[in-house]
Formats: sequence, structure tokens, C-alpha cells
Amino acid sequence: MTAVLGLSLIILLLGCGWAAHAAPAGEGWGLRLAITWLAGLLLLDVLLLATGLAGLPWSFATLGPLLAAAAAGSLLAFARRRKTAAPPPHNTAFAPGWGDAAAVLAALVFTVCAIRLWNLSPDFIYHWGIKGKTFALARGVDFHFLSRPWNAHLHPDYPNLLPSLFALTALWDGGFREPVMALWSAVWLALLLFVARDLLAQLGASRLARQAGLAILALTLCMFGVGYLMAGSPDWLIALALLAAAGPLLAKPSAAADHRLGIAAAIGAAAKIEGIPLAAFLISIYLVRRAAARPGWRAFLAAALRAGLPSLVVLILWAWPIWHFHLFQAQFSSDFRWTRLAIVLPELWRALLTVNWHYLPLCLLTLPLLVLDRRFRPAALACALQGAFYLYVYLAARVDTRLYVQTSAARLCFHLVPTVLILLIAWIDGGPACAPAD
Amino acid sequence: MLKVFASPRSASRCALLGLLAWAAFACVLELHRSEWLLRHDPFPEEQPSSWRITSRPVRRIANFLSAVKAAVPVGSRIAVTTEPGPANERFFRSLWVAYFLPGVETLPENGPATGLPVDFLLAYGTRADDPRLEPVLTTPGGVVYRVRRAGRSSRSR
Repeated sequence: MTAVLGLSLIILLLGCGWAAHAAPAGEGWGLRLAITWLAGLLLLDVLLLATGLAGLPWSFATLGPLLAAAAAGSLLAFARRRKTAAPPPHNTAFAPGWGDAAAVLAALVFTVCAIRLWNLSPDFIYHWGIKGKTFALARGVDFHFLSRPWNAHLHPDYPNLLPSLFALTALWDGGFREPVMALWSAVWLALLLFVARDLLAQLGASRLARQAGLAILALTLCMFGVGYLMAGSPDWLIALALLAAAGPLLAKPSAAADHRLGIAAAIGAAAKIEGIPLAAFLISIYLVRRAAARPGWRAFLAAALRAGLPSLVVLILWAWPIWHFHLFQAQFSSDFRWTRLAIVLPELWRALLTVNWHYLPLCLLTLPLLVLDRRFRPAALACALQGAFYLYVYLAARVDTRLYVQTSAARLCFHLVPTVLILLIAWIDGGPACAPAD
Repeated sequence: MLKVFASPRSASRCALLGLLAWAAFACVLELHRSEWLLRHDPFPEEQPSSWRITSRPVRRIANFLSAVKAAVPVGSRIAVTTEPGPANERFFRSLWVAYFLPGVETLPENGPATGLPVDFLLAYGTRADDPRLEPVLTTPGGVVYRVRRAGRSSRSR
């Protein structure tokens, strides 16, 4: 518990400088907190990856000075930004209500379940937890361990943000304790709710839609998070990345939106391998929108750097050891066959009807409708492209297709459902969106 | 009824409240289902792919492996053989072994490295009968054997 609180504080300190640019004082406090946290997590991940590649073991002596220097720099940037920040354009915060109370209750239920390990993900045992334990023992990402042929089931080519965070938590805590690791998922659920709350306000939803929307999302996350055993899973981060990117995708282009999009996309890229195409989709859609506004090539280049550079850095730090240690697993993307559709489509339909979902992923079927609505188009398009990418992987993977879909599709829906639910609620509400998405 | 849907506004209110009611019902149902599974623990020994960390078979294997930790040095390479269950299920049991033995190179049962030279053989729920195996830990749950390798000393020289 102390480790999660302590690391969260460090993460917030690391992120506050960048977040002062990405979510200025005029934005809601929930969004600012979430963006600060995500920016800090991203910087921590980059620091851990860089020290690992430099051959430095993770310890208080090696990481302490680096983290202290980075946090001091971030605080300095935060203080300078506060002095020079222009007055906020509008405050999107809204008064708390019954939806917030329901969300807090759902988050508490999930947190209790996670701490008691009632909903610890099986993949935590088979994949993320064993990596976290090994990295804690090795005091760094152990690429030799990952490159062993008998560890191929651990997906050695996946980005290592989550196991690195687990390892750091274990090193801080003096041991690897599952309840502490599961607590991170509760943190991410809370961040999802903060971001969703602000997105509903940004979309101009009515008070009823804001409260109902927040409650619906919280109940859905709690329901699936407990029933499908999602504690300790990195899928929260992908869902969070997509939802956090929806705000800047649907807002008027600005430097702050560039930063926010850049942070969200990079978190996706750092969390899981499917987050890498997600980052590419988010950045591409955002930059197309940016270019459509004809900002001039200097302003466009600056926006592209703000939106794309964080993901590029994460990608390079991920790809270098993957290439060096020959860790990439080609069997998941190298054998595309249309004929697999006959297996994949019925299984995907069954996944939408998975008992733990209680029909709520059927909201994904409204994506064409949301894409047609100009107000939601960029964010809905990002969801649709990510869904299409999952379909591509199912058609291209050289594994037992039926088993592959059966064991992953319901979980992959979890990446898209929060964003689509919020967009759908705003669409049902029919209120004016904050900015036309053209 | 018709009055409720008289305007698009009221129709959208009804849709939102209906969705909220369904989400609340589904959440309660799912929590109830999870509570039932937790209380009845219907995850059998022979189906490790269904185990949860709170399951009785996991507590049993965790107890056994906490004893194994003392007998198997960090950095050793171990093979795993387990009972009961079909081959694909036994693979999952060896993943639980790997989780509870960090720092030890665990070759999953029926995995890609079956047949590689190992330092120890871990037999859980079963026994091995081979003259090259020397038991170093025997418990009611399982046995850890050291593997005697022919020509080992000459190779190391």
C-alpha cells in the first residue's frame, strides 16, 4: 500500500510539469489529475527503460538521484507554466451528483475485490506477474530471461511498462505482494472515471447524461473488472489511453490538445503490443484533423512533434531490445487468410455475448452510427480502426484461431467499450458537442 | 406511454435511464455470480486453467512450492511433471509453478523445451521412477529430485 502511494506521488511529481502544458488550469481537476498521472507514468517508464538499456540496476542509489532530478525539473516547469499561463478558455468541471456517488461506490467495490484478490487476472499469473517478479529479482528488465525459448508463452515482445511498475513496487515494498499489485488496477479505474467525467462535460452533455453516463461507465467497469477477473491486467491502460485521447480528438486543436493526445497515445504504446497500432491510429487521425485546419507547416510540425514524439521515444526504447534479443513473435501477424473469417466472425459474436459482459459490448455495433456523426467521428474512427486491427490479427495469427478468439476477444472489447459507451451516451443525449469535429 | 416519448428529449432520457438500470442490474448480478464462485470454489485440481489465486488447489500448490524454494537454489533449471489432468491442463499447472518459483528457470510441462538438460525434476501429485533421479525433498504433495547427469564433472572441467 505504501509503495503504491509513494510511487503515485513520485509519478504525480514527475508528470506535473508536462501536464501543466497538456491540461492547463482551466480544465477540470479530474482531467488534470489523470493527465498528470499518465504523463508521470510515461516519464517513469522511459526512465526505467533507459536505465535498463544503460545497464544500470534499479535501486535507490541509481534511480533515486535520477527521479529526484526529473521531479525537480518537472516542478520547475510546473511553476513557470503557472506564472505564464493564459486565462482558461472555459471550465468544464461540473458539480458532483448522484452519478459521482454511484461511481465512487462501484470503484470501492472493485478496489475491495482487487485487494482481496477475488478478481486477480489469470494473465497476472501466466504473464505479467511472473515478469514482474523476475524483473524485481534482476533489478531491471531481464531480456535474457525473456529470450529463453521455454518462456515464449510470456509474450517476450510485449512492452514492459506494467511488469516494470510491478517490479519497482516490489522493490519499494521489500517483496512481491499480489494485493499491492492489484491495487494499480483500482488506480486506473479511478483515472478512467475522471477522464470520462471530463469528456462528458466537454461533449456538452446534459446534467442527467453526465451523471447517468458516469454511473453507467463505473458500473460497467466494476461489473466486467470483477466478473472477468481484470485486476492486475494491463488492459486498463489501453482503455484509458483511448478514452484520454478522445478528448483531444474531439476538441478544437490546440497545443494543450497536442500534448494530451501525445501522452495518451504513448501510454497505449507503452502498455501492450496492441497499444502500438492504437497510438499510430490516434496520432494519424489527430494530425489529419490538425492539417485540415491549415495551420502552416511550422505550427503543424510543432503539433506533430508534441503528439508523436512521446510515442516515438517509447517505440524506440521498446524496439531496440526486441531487435537485439530477437524477441519478436511473428506467428501472430504473418499468415493472413480471409478463410479464417468463417471461424472468427461467429466467435466474435459469441464474445460480444460473453456472460460477464451482460450484452453491454453490443454498444460497439453503434460505431458506424457514431462515425457518421461529425461530432464524434475522430474518436469513433479510432475505436473502429482499433477494432479492425484486432480482426486483422485474428485473420493473420498462425495459432488455433478459434481458441485465440475465445480466450481474448471479450478482453479486447474492454479496450473499446468505455470510449464507445461515453460517445453513445452523448449521442443519445443529443446535446451540442464542444467543438465540431471536422 | 406515448406521452413519455412525446419529445426526442424525453426519449433520450428514457434510453439513458434504461441503460443505467440495465448496467446496475448487470453489475449486481455479476457481483452475485462472483461471490457464488468464490464461496463454492468449483475449480477442480485437474483443471488448472480455471484456477484462481484464491482456489484450494492453488493454496495446496503454493504450500508445496514454498517448501521447494528451500531445496532448489535460485538460477537452477527445473522440469515439471504433474498430475492429474490432460496435457494442456498440466501445462497451466506448470505455469503456476513458474509463478511461485521466481528466479528458477521452470520448463513448462509439454512446452517447447521438453527434453532439455535440467538440474531438478519437480513431480507434483505424482512420483518419478528413474535411477538418474535422487529425491531431495519429499512431501505428501510432491517430490523434488536432483537429476544426476552422466559425465557432468568431466564436462565442467
